[in-house]
Amino acid sequence: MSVTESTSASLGAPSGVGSRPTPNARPDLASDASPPPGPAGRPAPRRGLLRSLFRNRKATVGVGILLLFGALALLAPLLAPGDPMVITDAGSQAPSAEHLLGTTAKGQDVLALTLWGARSSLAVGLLVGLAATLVGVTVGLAAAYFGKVTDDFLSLVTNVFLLLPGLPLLVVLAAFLPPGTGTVIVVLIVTGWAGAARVLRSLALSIRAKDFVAAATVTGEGPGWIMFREILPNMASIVMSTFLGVVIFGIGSQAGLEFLGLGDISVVSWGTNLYWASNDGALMVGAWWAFLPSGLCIALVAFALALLNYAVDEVTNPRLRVPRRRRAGVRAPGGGTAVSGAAEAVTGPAGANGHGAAPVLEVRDLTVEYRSENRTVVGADRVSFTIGEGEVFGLAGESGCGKSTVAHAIMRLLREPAVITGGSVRFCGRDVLAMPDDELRSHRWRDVAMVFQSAMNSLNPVMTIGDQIVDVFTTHERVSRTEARRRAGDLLELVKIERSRLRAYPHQLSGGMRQRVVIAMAVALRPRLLIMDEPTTALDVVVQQEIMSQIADLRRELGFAVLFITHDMSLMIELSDRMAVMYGGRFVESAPAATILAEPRHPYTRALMNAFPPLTGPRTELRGLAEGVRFTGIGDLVEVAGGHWVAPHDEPHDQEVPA
Amino acid sequence: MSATTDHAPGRAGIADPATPVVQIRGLVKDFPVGGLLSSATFRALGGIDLDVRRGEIMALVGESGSGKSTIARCLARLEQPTSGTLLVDGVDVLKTEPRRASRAYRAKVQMVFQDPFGSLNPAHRVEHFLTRALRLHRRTASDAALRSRLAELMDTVDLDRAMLDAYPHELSGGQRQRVAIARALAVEPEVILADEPTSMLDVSVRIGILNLMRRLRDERGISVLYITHDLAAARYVADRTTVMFAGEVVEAGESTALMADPAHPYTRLLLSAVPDPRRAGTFDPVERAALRAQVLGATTCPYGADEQCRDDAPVQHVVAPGWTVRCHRFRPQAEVARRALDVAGTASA
Amino acid sequence: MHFVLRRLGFYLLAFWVSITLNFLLPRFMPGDPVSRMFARSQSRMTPEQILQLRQLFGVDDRPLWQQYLDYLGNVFTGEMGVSISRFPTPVVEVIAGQIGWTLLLGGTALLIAVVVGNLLGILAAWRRGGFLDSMLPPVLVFVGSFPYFWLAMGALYLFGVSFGWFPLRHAFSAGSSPAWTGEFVSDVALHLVLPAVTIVVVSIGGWMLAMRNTMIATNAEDYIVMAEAKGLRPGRIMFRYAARNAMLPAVTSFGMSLGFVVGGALLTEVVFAYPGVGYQLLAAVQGLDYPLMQGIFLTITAAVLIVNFLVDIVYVRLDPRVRVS
Repeated sequence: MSVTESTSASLGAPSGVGSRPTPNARPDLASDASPPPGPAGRPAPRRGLLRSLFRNRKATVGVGILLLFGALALLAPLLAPGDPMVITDAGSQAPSAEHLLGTTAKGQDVLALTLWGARSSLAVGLLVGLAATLVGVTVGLAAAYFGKVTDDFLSLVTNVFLLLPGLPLLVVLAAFLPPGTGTVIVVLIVTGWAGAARVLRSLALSIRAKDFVAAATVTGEGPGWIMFREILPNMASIVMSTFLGVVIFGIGSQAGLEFLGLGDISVVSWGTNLYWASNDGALMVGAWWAFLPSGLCIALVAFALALLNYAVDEVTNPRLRVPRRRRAGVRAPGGGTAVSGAAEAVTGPAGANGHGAAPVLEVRDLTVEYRSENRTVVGADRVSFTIGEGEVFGLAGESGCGKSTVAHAIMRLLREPAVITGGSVRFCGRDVLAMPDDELRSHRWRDVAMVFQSAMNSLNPVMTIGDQIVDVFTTHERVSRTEARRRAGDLLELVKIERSRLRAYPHQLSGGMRQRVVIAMAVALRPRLLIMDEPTTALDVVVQQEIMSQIADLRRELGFAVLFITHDMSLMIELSDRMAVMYGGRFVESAPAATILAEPRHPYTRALMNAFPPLTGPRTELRGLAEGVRFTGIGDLVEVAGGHWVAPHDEPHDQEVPA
Repeated sequence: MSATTDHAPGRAGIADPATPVVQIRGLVKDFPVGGLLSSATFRALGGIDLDVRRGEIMALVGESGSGKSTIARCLARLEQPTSGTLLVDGVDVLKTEPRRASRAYRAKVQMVFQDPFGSLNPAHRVEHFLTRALRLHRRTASDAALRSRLAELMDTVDLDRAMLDAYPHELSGGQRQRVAIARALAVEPEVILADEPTSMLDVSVRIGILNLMRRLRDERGISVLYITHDLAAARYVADRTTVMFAGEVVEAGESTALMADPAHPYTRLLLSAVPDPRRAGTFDPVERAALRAQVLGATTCPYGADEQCRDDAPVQHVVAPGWTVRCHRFRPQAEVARRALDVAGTASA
Repeated sequence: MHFVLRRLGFYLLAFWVSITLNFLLPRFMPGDPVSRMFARSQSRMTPEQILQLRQLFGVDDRPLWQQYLDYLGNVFTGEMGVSISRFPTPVVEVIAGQIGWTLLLGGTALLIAVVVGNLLGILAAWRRGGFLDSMLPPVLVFVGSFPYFWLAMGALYLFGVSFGWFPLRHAFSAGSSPAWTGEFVSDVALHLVLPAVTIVVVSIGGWMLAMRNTMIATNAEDYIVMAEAKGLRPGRIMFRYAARNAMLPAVTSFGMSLGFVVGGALLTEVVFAYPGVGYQLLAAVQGLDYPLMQGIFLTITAAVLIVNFLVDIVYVRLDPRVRVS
């Protein structure tokens, strides 16, 4: 895919000095240029399922085994030493040059039986897999297409069939039907379709609910098109793994049925081979070779299918891949402190906290990298700042700019693949990055607490909020449970929630209430610093205002400092004493909030400010960043006025034009 | 409220520039709640009246759950209204095409969804979305015309033409939303329903999408029903603003006037909660606290203590021409006098 | 409560479906199993028994709806005819004499597989990239790919026939009679080892992998990061926060996969001649004993449904979100 640059490349030629940035305007295809959003990882690759599978080792092994067996089955007439059905008087012979795998009690050649058996077993498995998957896809699409009543009915039938124990049902069905391979196939489809249908139905319904289906409807697409061109293509990977699952079921169950003598015992298949081996008492006479090959073949084929299935899962959900062992989140021991020592020459707004007191938090040249097999992305790049006692320091920026990375690094909460590769974090002079595990645990929450973006997700859904608050006390202090509970109740009252709510589960509270619970929990141990990572983004504006004023009250009462992270510039300026704007892992501007409001210097800061139009005054046309504009090579901050630090930049031509 | 004449079913309305392009009257939507056998419903919309005029951007603001998106989904015919009328170009569409919307209707009313990551099928390329829209509505005759149309659409939304070959996952959020807008534009609609089109985007590119909407209105006369929870954005982009609360329209009027001095207490509260450092100190903290206390406990009206709202629906008052409010607390006479004085004061100053 | 009642209704429906299936099979399937069955054993039956079997299998001239109602009545009063292979014992008595052994074998194996498998899954997901996470899953997947009965035969051959460590067949030694003596209990335990281990080995990988995958998803949740930020001890986070939540889908899938495990246990019984319903099922198949086959099917279905219902009740205890106020 080729994409030409949309705008002229750069506004000013880099004039030798490395700190001279170029607001390089190029379309930002993919999120490649920006650091990963967080430890959660990227969305699954949509295209190239087959190509990704090709590179997956599990898939290669699986496909290899399957191809081998496929070839053996196809070539059985050529490869097999003679007719497997020929009965000779050379019974129960151990493997020899003449009979590579020995003979059965009836003198049949085991190798020939095994090779010919592959044909029937693989064919049945494949047929059952195809048919059951087809039924599953049909049920799924029908449920998605017809909706409510049809879906209720289909789902009921599916679940009933799923509950009926498979093997006894198979046995009863097979016993009443005339014996034969056809019967086995029919019976396996009857018992196997429900599993496929259950998975594919819920998948189809979830895709049906997506906006792109609604969008296609609004464009004017008909139902047929929507079913087969919008929904079906997105089911591909799950359809594939369902199919593989049913094939495994088919091969295994066929063998089980035939082993019980319920198939056509005159047909050669792996299952009937085992039936005869068992019937002839091969085991009792020690003729292990009679039953070993067929069982091994079934296992190998099922294993190959399972591997392939597993690979499909891994490709669609990369998190499942086994990572290499590495201690996440902390830099390699030994390397770190030297870096922080070297950074003493103040190159940032670090010294300038408006309060003059000793800093609570001192972050210097903090660098975080996201390392994957192929590449390393910098999440935070030489970030330095301090927060004074009781100060509110704001960190503004958009998703992926590294502000959450910084917050997590301060509490050493980063996980694979994020690694702190340089810099230091000092809390009241103590080196946080050098703390051993138990010291770190007692430092967390007691000294620094954190309020996460989504209160819904940051509370454990299966524990009462009371127990979750009590956990804080019993972990950090020697208190009895009753005492801890009493104090938990006090905390709730502090954020104006009734004590009785201690017994409530998170889902029983409203969004705003949940976030207040989290805030109460955060101040439980009276920490000196509270990190708030987009605490109100998910909430409505009235509730947001309520929460923010509550935090202001608590701060007046308890006097903690705040690291406040948000993308909402208006909110940040209203609340912060000082603030910094972050872009691509770098600080681009740092100043007292009022200064940023009055005279933002960096074009990116101005673009952020413009995203929040005023509620008073005349309406003027504002400009944001043009689509695809990126700043690269951001230099170190330079002090342009007292306490106002800005990264060097070109004066843009068209960032702000009055209408 | 406006002169709506009955049209014969099936007859296309005359595009009289004075007739609002969309007129919603008494729109009610109930959603079933509970299980299979339960007949309980939740009333998402309780009889909405709303007009969107030709060539205007109408903002519909409210908090989550206020029913503002439901209005858009009803208009886009993704939800079947429980009762009420939808008039598009003066045609009562629920009568003329009661089950499924016709292609002709789709050609008039298009929608842009909130989440550009969900509204573009990951299996298709950008070109596909636009081509399908053009083909379905027969907007192109030849392949050459198609190509030039595609290029034109990409230009309109400020996207590089080379991106026609890209898959959605290769684009940023803002770029995807522009593709979604281009898809809506491809059918040359009269109205675009924009359901929170910027709320999932990076803040630095949001204003660009709003500017694009303004441009479409100014240059092509396209009407936009802009659904948002962001009052500042509504004020920035919309000619008129309608405020919703719990499935009811509480106030509607010209955007800047309405936000300068809202008549409904809920609008006042909403406005007071928006952080805006430039007008710090405008709102009396005592008043804000009182408003807050009243709203947080209420489910129907911020003045829930006022039993009147529960017993009979408040009457709609006219605050000023084109500005209406529904509230028992509203005292028309006194208010008109106060505002008249304000206007006089401003004029003399 | 509402949830539990709804589930109960669903299980009753499922049971009704299986009864109806049982009713319809002999009446609408091609072929004539009934006459085959009679051909084999009619001579030994009393006219009364013949009439009863004819009615059970639809070889009579009552109208279909009448047959159906009578059939439902019979099932609920436990009237399922006489067994042909163990003539003239009634089907109900045959099953009653053997269900205990199946419960012992299946229950023991299931319990071990579920507990150990889930624990392994929890540990594997907690220490990503460790031995449990990287080496064990492929091994267990491979072992789990073998048919139950084949592995059972292998174990029997290796540890029974070749090494002679374990008894070859049955649930207790010939000659000893069931009693609550230490001797008999240890004899039963010894007979239990091979079949139970076979079932555990084949099924444990599925439990482990499912748990591992949900745990990995759960570990990425905000509340786990929050628990870490709270400074909680790793053990508490792993069990009280992560595993406690990851357990919920595991509980649901437990019910779903019960049917499969039961099937595997039945095949294992066949290999070890373990005197449970699975072994009896094979005997019924070979002896064209249709009444017994149907009886066993209904019994196992009922057992699976009951266990599922119990699982639902447990689920309600575990997940506060389904406890509708």
